[in-house]
Amino acid sequence: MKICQDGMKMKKVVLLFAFLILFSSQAFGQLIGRSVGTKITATIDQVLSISTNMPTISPVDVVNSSSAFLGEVTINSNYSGTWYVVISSRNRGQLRGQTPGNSDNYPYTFYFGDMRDIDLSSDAELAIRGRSPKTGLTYRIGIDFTRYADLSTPVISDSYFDEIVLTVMIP
Amino acid sequence: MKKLVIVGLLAVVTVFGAFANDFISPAAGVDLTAKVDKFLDLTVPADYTATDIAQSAETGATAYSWSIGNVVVKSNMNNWTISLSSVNDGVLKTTVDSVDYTIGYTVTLGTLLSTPTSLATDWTSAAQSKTTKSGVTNALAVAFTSSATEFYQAGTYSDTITVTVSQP
Repeated sequence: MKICQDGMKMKKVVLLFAFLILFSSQAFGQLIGRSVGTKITATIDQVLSISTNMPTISPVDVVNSSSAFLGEVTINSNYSGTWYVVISSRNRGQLRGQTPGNSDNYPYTFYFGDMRDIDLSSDAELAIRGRSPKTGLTYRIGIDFTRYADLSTPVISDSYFDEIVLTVMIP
Repeated sequence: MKKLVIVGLLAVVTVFGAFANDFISPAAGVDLTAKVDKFLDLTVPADYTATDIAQSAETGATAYSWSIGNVVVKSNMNNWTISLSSVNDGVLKTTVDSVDYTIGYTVTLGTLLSTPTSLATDWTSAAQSKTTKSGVTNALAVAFTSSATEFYQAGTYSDTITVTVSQP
């Protein structure tokens, strides 16, 4: 009789143990993980520059020519939108007599690369879109004019001058 | 009378012999249990701001390499993995006038990822072994080379790299 009672007691213990194993396995099946982010930031500064190989003073031959090449302008820009070259003339697009009392003016038009007949009676804004290559965008610049002999209104003999300023800008 | 005495002595000796064995080697057991919790810890570098890009000074292709910092993993489990993912799919990005501009880059992560790799797709390491108490340290670095001919659009570019460690 004693043996039979012990046998019953043994069965109970075995069942309880199996249940524990099953529950624990489920807990161990879950994925454990950690995630953390790190932000990387870099600023690309604006590049906008203009340079030229024009001499400070460019002689213009109005007797033998109707055009004067002044030099090249190179512009660097890393702005992908529209940026501007502003061209201004001190004498409003005319070569002005230097001798006091000489009010004659020798008119001309300006060219910038392929853009010709630019009237500098007021500032000219040339819109250019897009980034330049690292070597820059290079434009030939100069003036076109009527030969002295072909002027409808001749001018007196004198030295005539103007001053041109080119500016690049991003709005 | 003599016969009876002998039988009694033998019976006494026998009984004591049977009980003697039980008292010489008793046995009992005690079960000991200790629970060691799973441990998986991750440390990543702080946010990084690059200060060395000077496009105006570039005359051609220029290589950039940024040491972002150390990634440290501590684990008391085997078979953990580490993953890298990018919010912008492996590019630094800026938006100017509603247009997106990007700079593609590659990453390395110490000995775990020594070949520069784009995060256009997520990267995951092979399964790793339990670490020492000081953990496993791998340096996170970012690299790219600017164009030989073209400028990057001006602006502030960014991306977030997410580092994940996991153990199934």
